[in-house]
Amino acid sequence: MTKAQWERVKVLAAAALEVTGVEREALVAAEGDATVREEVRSLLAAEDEAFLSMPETMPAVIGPYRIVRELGRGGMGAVYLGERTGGDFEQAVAIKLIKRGMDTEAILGRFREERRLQARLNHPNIVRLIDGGMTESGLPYFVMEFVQGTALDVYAAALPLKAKLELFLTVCDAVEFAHRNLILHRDLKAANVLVDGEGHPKLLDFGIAKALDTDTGFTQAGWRALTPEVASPEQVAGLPLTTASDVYSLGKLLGKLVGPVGDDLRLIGGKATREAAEERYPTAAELRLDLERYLAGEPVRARAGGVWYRTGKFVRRRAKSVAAAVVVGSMMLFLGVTAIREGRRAERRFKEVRQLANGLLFELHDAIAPLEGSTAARALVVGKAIRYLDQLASEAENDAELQRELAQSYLKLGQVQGSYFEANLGQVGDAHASFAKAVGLLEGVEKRQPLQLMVKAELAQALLRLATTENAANRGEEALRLCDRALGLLWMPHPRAVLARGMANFGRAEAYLRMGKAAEAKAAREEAIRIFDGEVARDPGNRDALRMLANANRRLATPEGVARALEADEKLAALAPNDGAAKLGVAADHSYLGALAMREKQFARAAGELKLALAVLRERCAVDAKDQRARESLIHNLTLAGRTEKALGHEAAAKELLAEAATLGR
Amino acid sequence: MLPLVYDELRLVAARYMSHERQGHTLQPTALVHEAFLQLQKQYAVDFTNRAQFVGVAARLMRRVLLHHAEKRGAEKRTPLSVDTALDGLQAQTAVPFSDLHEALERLAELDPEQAQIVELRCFGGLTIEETAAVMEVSPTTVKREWQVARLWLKRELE
Repeated sequence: MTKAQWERVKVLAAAALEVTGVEREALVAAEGDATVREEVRSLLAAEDEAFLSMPETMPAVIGPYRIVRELGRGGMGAVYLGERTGGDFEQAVAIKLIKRGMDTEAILGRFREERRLQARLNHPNIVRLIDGGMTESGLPYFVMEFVQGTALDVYAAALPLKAKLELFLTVCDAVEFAHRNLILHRDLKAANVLVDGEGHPKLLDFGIAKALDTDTGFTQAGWRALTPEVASPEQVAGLPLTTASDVYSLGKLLGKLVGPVGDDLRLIGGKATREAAEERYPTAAELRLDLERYLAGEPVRARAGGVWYRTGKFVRRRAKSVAAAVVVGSMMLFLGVTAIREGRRAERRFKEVRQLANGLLFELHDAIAPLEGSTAARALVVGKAIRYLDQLASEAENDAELQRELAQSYLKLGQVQGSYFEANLGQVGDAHASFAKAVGLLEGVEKRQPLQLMVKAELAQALLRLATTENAANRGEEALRLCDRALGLLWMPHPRAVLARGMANFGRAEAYLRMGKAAEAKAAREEAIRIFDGEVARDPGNRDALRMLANANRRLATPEGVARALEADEKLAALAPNDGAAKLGVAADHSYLGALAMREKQFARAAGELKLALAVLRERCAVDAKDQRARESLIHNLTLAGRTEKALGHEAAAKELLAEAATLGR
Repeated sequence: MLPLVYDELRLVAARYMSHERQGHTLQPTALVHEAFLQLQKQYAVDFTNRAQFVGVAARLMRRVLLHHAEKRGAEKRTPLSVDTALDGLQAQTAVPFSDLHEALERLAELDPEQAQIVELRCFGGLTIEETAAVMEVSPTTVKREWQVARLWLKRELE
């Protein structure tokens, strides 16, 4: 037999092995060369499954670790139990070997980034990521501390509710710890929480999901590092993730763990898994707190419909058909109104429907908001909401709970209608009316329930909101009165109350400004800053505090103030690396510093600041081409920078910048 | 480099096999790794030609097995790991190790690359993927060669 013939034999034999029976015979018979044919037939006769069958899939060694056995298999690859070779020590590790088909270089690159952050994740309930690398055959792997344990849902299946919740609380702790260290999990499912022999839960795979995420933009289709059941809406949509996304997954996990149970627990789960990230618990710690309240028999936050609702930006949502949404909204309203008439027997159903309707109304609004030309539709929804709420309010004379909830709805409505800091429909007067209704309702409840701290807190919040509209209308005295009253109610040491006190002082400062009392304004503003500073020092990961600190400092309108705001905004950006808004804040501060410098004719300094602003904005636009605000900001700052360069006499540079602005503006 | 590597490997192999591990079959690739790391440590040289290294290691393992196979029975100090490996191979091939060894030598005359693959897999303990990486061919090729080799050897040993 010649070499060529032998090669042919090999190819044919291998092909024949892939098929059986008639097909195989036919394949062999089709071979022209008789020698080859005979040799293949002869070889095939020796087919023996057992002869020299070497284990295919399990490698003997990965990196410096010897593989002992397979522990399990997942979507991304297999997990093995490994032992460190060489040396005197034997360390058992779990090694996750990622299967072929993923972009190894990118994965490893991302992994190396994650590794630096991972080093901080030293927590008894987080499985430590020890190492990572690439095998000889080019497969990436991650080495973790080996934990012998059972998946959380399996472990807890037969446990009583309290025990389940206690396990879950520990999980929340671990997640919070990671978040404080700027690491998201991104794939919190039951299988990623192992409970060891001593009953301690341990979280797996922190940061691995991020390293594996090969999302390179909006064009990347197919595999993403997520588990559909626990993935948050923003994750599924490929939007940037935040701690709230992990909270969503925690909520799903909670649901899985406890199953269908009663009211409050379901509400907590519901709050954690809201579609809009803004409406969930902002942190795992908040979720934990509410669960603790539940366990202690105290009223849970999930019930109150958002006491400390912040004026955040609404998460951009997938556009829904306006017509369909309005139809659904109307239906719910109808049901709600009908339920009122059914009297006490339908009270429970009424409550549920009402809650649904309230939620839906605002979701409706949010869904419509991003659509262009939807002002009329939004006004329609708002109009319905007003009528609906007013109707409910007239029925709610003695129902404190209902009144509180209505107050929250009015507050929300007011924000939608327009407030000082967010011009939605720009109708400050309407917002004022809504806020005033909320205050009216809550004042009433507060009088009847003077011992209820939560009511005081809600009332304070409503007063502050109303104060913002007073300031917007330049009614300083009125605003001051409201802020002072709020301060009087906010004496409790709870961190949220502390922040609210800061806000109240901020409001007072604005009020004093409008009254022309600059000195008092300065004092009040400094007090606000002092309070926010304190909160940030106490709790460096508290984004609300940072945001408020940034705002307050910025309002000082001095280079020192804005520089401090910049510091806070940089911290914010660091806490939420995917948050475009935070980056915009940083850019805005630099820009502001630039503008202040320009006013003092310090053009070189201005140019420097603007350069920094531009760097951030350019990066942001590169990362997210759809960020309109970033784009507009970039154009604006390019123009400013162009003018600055001109003032410095750098004609060429100026021209370039202005040209860039012009191109983008197209 | 080759003689140096070979001697070192022998030393490491001897040391490795003196750790008698209950229930563990001989894991040649682990051995290769250890040897590799040892050498890197001792000679501070970056062994980039891993393929050659692994090839040598696999060959070494084969020799070790052969040596003990011939002496088994006569010599009472066959390491457990070797015993296990030999027993394993015997169970799979239904022939004494020396027969397998000779058949493999004949295969090497017919098709050296194919024999190398067999050696790497059987004595180096490499998976198809790993073999492909070491020999710098595609896993498909390795799989094909491996399958045909098994047929050929079986036929040869009948």
